Amino acid sequence: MTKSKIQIFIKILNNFFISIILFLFYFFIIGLISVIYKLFKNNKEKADSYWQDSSPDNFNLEYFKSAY
Amino acid sequence: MLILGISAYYHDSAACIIKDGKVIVAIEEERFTRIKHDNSFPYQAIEFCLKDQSLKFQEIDYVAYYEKPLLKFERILETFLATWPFSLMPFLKGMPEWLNYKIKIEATIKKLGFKNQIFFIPHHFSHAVASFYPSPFEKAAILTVDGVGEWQTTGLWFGENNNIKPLKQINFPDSLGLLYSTFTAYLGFKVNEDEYKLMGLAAYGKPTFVNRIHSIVDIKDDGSFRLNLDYFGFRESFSMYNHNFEYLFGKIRKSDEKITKRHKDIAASTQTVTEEIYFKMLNYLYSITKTENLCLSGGVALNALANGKIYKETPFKNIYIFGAAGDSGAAVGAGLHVYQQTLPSAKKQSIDNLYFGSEYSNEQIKPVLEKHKLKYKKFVNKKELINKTAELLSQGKIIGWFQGRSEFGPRALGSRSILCKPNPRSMKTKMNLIKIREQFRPFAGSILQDKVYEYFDVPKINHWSPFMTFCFQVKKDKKKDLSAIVHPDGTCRIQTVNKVNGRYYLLIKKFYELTGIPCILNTSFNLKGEPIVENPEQAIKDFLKTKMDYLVIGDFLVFK
Repeated sequence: MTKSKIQIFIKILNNFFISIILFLFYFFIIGLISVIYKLFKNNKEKADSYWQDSSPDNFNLEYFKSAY
Repeated sequence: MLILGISAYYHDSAACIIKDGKVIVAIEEERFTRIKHDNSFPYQAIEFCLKDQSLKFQEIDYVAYYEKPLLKFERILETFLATWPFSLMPFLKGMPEWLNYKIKIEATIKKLGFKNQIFFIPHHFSHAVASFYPSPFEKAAILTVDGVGEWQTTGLWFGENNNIKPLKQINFPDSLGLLYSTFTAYLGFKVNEDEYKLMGLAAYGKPTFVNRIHSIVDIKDDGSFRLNLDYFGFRESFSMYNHNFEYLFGKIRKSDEKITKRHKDIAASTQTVTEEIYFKMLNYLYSITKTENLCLSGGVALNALANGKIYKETPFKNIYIFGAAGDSGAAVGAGLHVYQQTLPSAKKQSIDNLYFGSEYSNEQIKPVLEKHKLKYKKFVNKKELINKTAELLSQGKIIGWFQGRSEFGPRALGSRSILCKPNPRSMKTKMNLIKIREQFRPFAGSILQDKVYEYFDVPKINHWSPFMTFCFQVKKDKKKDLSAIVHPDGTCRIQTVNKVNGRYYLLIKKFYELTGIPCILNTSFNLKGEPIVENPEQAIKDFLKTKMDYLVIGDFLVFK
């Protein structure tokens, strides 16, 4: 029972530290990349059509083996 | 060749096995975990599929996963960049989930003892395959439309023989599915679960908010569209909408709040705009493919009300919608594609029923009946059981119907159903009370296929609609016969039934002989908030909890 409580405490502590690390990562790393991203990202402009062409060339066996 | 298809981590996780190009078993994880639309990795569904076919994981040749997890992760990361610094909370919640397990699909599958090749089929391509390969068409135009896959939210495709060619696409965050879900959430319903409630509510309102919806979505003549993100919150928060949206449409409805005329009008307007986009897309798709055959897939393709109007609003003459059009069906699509990809000479095989799930023998059912000390009668003669059940239905009794293999997908198609006669109107009220659900929600009807033309405004005689994916207008002179299933807009969602449906077909046929009406009310065998019953124990518990009159399970007629 006591062990279980300790485990729960460690888990909460662990999650707390992970959250702090993620928080810092979000504000400093993601923030910095975000500024660069927004500088170079083209803003969407109004067009006659919003359809984008699909690329059929990718669809080979190797493509489907990749998780990306 | 044996292929295991898997979908997971969005909603409706599922597993299936394809043997030599044919689906032999398929089931959703929710049936086992009892969590509706469960999105967890489908361990139990996989275990069931293997056990059902007496297979070991090592005997599976390939695993097909229904999307590309790393590409999806890329979209998630880019969304965080685009919405920084407002997306902190989703970042804190989402990152551990993604890093812990969502991108580790390969490791998760390998841990189960699988050593062969795993294929990752793009989400919308899985949908496209799931609708085209099981269709009876040699060539067809294909529309896939849902919330979001990796990046894609909408896809236009052209299928011919074994090949599917991608034509056009729309990417996140512009999404018809997410637009519909935003209004679902706004009206106090659950996202990815209650969209059909909005669809049902639409019939009670007038589309007076259409202009306001047009101000948050820019729609082109070719059906392409763009959301005005100033009104949506789904990228950077846990809410689908933001304060601008609330300012434009008024106060949000809480789930327990009374439904007012304004809510009904907003529902009607949402449905109207959705149909406007849907039909424009389809007309554009026709203009670039020039074929009268159409296959539809993705969550939006479950919008039966819109589907029923396609015949009148577009040039398409023949439509196939795979019954499991949502993400569970994408597991089948992924599996079927791997079969075709690894065996290019293979021919596609059409699917005309979805009875791919679990089945229980009389020997398994009897002990459960006895455990609950229920009164029952076992029928040795199948015909007698059918005759008795039809007779009870004709007397206005409400019957739980648990027969044969369970259905794959969101609809009960005569295996795990609650049934009653389709009139008088009070049967609807009675059934809604049993199911503990809102009175505004309509019920579907199962009708003999050769009689469908007499009762509904279907595009052709002997119209085939086996998966309940279309609503059609009920013919004026038949509205009285079907008064419990006619919605206020005069439509009804229908399932056409023929010999493929086995006992269910025989039951409706006998009911027709007794009453002169070839149609019965069919709703899924579950209660509010729970998935369709999976085993006899759950069926009996629901039977006992409610005012269902009888339960017909296997060869047993169970009394109270």
